[in-house]
Amino acid sequence: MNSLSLSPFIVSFKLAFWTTLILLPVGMWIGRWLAYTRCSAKPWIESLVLLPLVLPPTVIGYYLLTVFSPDSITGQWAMQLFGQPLVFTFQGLVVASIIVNIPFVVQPMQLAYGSMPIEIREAAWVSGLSPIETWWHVELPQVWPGILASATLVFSHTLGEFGVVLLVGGNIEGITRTVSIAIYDHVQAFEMQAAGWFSLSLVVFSMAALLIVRLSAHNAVASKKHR
Amino acid sequence: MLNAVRGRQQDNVARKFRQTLGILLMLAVFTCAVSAYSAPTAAQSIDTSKTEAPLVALASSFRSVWPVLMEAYGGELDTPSPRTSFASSGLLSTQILRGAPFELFLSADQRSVARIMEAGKTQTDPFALASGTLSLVTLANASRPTGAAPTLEWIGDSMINANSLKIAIPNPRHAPYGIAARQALTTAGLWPIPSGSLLNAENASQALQYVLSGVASIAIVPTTLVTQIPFEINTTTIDPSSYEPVIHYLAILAPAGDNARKLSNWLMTPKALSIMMQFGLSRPEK
Repeated sequence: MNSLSLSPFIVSFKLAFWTTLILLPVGMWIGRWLAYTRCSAKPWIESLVLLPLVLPPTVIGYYLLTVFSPDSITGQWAMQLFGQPLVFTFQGLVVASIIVNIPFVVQPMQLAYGSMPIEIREAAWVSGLSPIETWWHVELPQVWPGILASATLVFSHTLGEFGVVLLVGGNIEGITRTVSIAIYDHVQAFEMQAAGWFSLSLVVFSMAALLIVRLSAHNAVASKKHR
Repeated sequence: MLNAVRGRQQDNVARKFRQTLGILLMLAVFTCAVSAYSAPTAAQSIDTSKTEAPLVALASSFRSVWPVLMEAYGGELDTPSPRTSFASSGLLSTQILRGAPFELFLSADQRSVARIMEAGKTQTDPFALASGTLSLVTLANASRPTGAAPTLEWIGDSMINANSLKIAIPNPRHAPYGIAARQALTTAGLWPIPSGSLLNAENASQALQYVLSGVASIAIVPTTLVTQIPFEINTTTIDPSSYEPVIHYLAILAPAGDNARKLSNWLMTPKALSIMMQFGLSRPEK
């Protein structure tokens, strides 16, 4: 039982929690801006936002490792800002995880805002609602499935992240060893049963997360039809 | 009309807020519950690692012997169990150079410790802990027709007669036992291995995995890795004169605290060496 420590779950859930909490408002704002902007640089910004989705995690990990290394100027700035190096620390993992997960928030939010007819906002404005009131009373209920989808995707994707975590965080027990790294470590140590239990837990959690997303999407469609 | 729409929308937002708050609360409670269940091993900041469980980076060849060493260490000294990170020596030394907060480094080669020493990442000169040997490994049920243990000669014959033979070795680019494996194969006149027959594993453990999973017919791995392993395998120790000795070094790194130094002192004792010798390691020649 000693080999099946709960410590990787704690690291994983903490990482997923902080990533989701920090990324959700930022991603919502970027997604909304991208849905409405007519800026000529939009395709460039969209490509940049989507880049972590297509790049191998090792590429992102390599750059973060280089940029955050205490020997580099940027790494020293990060050390002054955070009070400790960003590589091989939990804080560094959160920063890396936020970067990797940007497309998983921005894309659903952009789609959610993009599918909302502009007339709805216009109707709210001519009815005397301020931009903040419009966002709160009109936009938020409309894009709610997008928010839920983003949060669930980020949370479950962070739990399963491997390449970046291994490169930026290493495999340090209790600090940066997440569930997915622990699975790799148990396989390397020929502890197949422990690897099996960790894997099963990720399958169950990921399935539950996807079910939440799909059910909320179905409910949204059903409620729109009902109206 | 507007008030009615507003009211309905407010109800809608409030309902969805309650749902989301519920989900977030469940996640937070779950995270806290898991944290509380095993608080001593929860993610801690690096500063506390200096006074608590030492952080040890270990070459993969120490995987089998380390739990036995720690059992003996825990029985003797009342200090927290070290936290570990296993990988190839080359990868670990790169991580140390990039700022990984390890306190001790048990490396399987001299080049890796020399790199970190030159970079000023060690407190003292590295200590030659033990010398390792190489073994040939096949699955017990997939060995030679006679059921005998594998030999390098058998590899040579099989490569001529069967193209499908696959040999797994730790990657010689960064794994010290991979370099030794290449030297042993060269001495036996088998290097270079034809492309398609050689599998470069990430580290020694993975090379053994390749054989256990049936991907490779044979692997060359550290003897320490296949000693006291719970799998039915055939092993043969390769003649140590056919490759340069694989010396394992212990380096005390810059962030090392008292507990790390205590552990490093214990690892240099005859008792620790006797345990390592049970796993195929030997006293290094001076």
